[in-house]
Amino acid sequence: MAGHALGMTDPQFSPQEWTIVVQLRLPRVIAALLIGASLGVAGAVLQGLFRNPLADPQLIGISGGAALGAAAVILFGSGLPFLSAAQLPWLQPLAAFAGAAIAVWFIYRLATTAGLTSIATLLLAGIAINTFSGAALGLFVTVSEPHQLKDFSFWALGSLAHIDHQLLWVVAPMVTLPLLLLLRLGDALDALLLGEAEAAFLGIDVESVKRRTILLVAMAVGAGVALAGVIGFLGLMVPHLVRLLVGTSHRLLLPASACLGAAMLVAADLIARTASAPLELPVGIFTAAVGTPFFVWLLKRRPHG
Amino acid sequence: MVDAGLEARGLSLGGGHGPRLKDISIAVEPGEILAVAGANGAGKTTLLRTLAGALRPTAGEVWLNGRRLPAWTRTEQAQRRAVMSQSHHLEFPYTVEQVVALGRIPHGEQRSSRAVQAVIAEVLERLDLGFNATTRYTELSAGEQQRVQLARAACQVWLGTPDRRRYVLLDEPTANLDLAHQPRVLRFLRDLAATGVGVFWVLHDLNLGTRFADRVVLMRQGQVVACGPPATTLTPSLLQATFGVEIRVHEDGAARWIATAS
Repeated sequence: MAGHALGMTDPQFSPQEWTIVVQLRLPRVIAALLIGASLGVAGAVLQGLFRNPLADPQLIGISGGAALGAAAVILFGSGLPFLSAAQLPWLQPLAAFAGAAIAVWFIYRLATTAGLTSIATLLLAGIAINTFSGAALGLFVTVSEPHQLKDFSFWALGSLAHIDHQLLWVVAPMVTLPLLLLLRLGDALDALLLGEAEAAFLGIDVESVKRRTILLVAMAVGAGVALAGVIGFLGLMVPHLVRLLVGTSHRLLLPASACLGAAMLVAADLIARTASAPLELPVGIFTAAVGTPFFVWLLKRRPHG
Repeated sequence: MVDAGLEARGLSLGGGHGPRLKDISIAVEPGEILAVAGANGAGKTTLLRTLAGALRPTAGEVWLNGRRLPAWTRTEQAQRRAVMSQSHHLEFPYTVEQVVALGRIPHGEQRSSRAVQAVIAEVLERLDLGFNATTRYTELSAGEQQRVQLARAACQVWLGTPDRRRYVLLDEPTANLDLAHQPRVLRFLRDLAATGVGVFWVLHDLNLGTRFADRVVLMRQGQVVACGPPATTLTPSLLQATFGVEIRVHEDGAARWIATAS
């Protein structure tokens, strides 16, 4: 029995409580595990790809692009004549993926010259995308029906409170598959930290690695955003904590970031659900509360621009 | 033509302000140290990067062991040719061992395997980095980082490669080294050459070149001024043609010392 597996051996455990565990808590925990893992890995991969410790899916605007894509489909998708209601859950993560991919591509083109990424440009490009997507999302939420986009805080801060079951089954493979493929890029990312030219001298097909990485990150992050909105700073913090624990080599860094990211998001969601019960807080509040000082510390620690 | 060697055949490379390389034909043979000297902007690094396949020549070809460079896959090239550039900055705190181990990526081995660990340990020992193996690279001095990058490049073409004819292309590998480590690094390059590795060495101290290079290439404005053994190339007239200033060569027995006249 799943109940036993979850440690629910209390004989007083009622059918109602059983329903809560299986119907509400379990999907929520699965979603937190998947999204946490995807954010941890995405952060590690982006920091490696941009050779920049400040890269994070939310900070540099990938999550914002994804949120915009997903929200646009929810808002305007029902108006499309060829689309039935059953197809909407499929289109939503795909649109988030597209939004995320466009955002990464834009950032890469803007911030990277001759294989080097300027930190200032990277963060400024992120601000540009986040500001634009924030404004557009605000507009979407204002003009949408109340049932369509839930609320603005879902998109801005992220929440696991209302996991759409149908959506979860679409999103799960869209997160898992890129994660598994990204784990194989450890060697290439290690080599890339020497510089793009040096990685090529080690036999790495740099352009192909970049393209694959960008698409896979966009898919994993985009699918997560479609499910739970934009959860910030996890992708920034997790890889740095993991580097302190297991070192810098991507072979260990990537799987360990997946595990720690999953664990941290489950924990953060637990706090979000219980800290001021029965009122639920968006989980992004907690990740931001811990993440912002962490980000400032990273920024201060850098000796040069 | 010989079919071993890393060769430039009639290599030219256009640039924004005229040609950066003009009709260069030289070759590094396995087992020799070929030093490349010339004034700043003479095209030494450009030649190195073109030989390494990072820059595409506008005319001419690069040949590696008797085949055109593009006929080899990236991995096959990397198994036969390592490159050490001038920049050594790393953003994340890898250990010295981990950086050196990157050199084995093209060989598809388990980097934790005993054979690879033995190669790494030996190279580090020879470059006087043995005690630094688990130190974070980012905490090293510029000279130490330079030796680590040299160790990485050497590891890439160490024995155990499918082809004995291998090459390292080094861009000023001694630029940040102190006096004590210069001869140690140069002896290391000699030993490396003795195992069949051709060393293409962009040089900045001509006096090191006279002592350690088998042949010297002098470059000026993207062209080869002279190519041959130090005794025939490092002469006052050729050096003056290369650098555009008057240069004296002091001979003291077998040793030669090169200095500007003023």
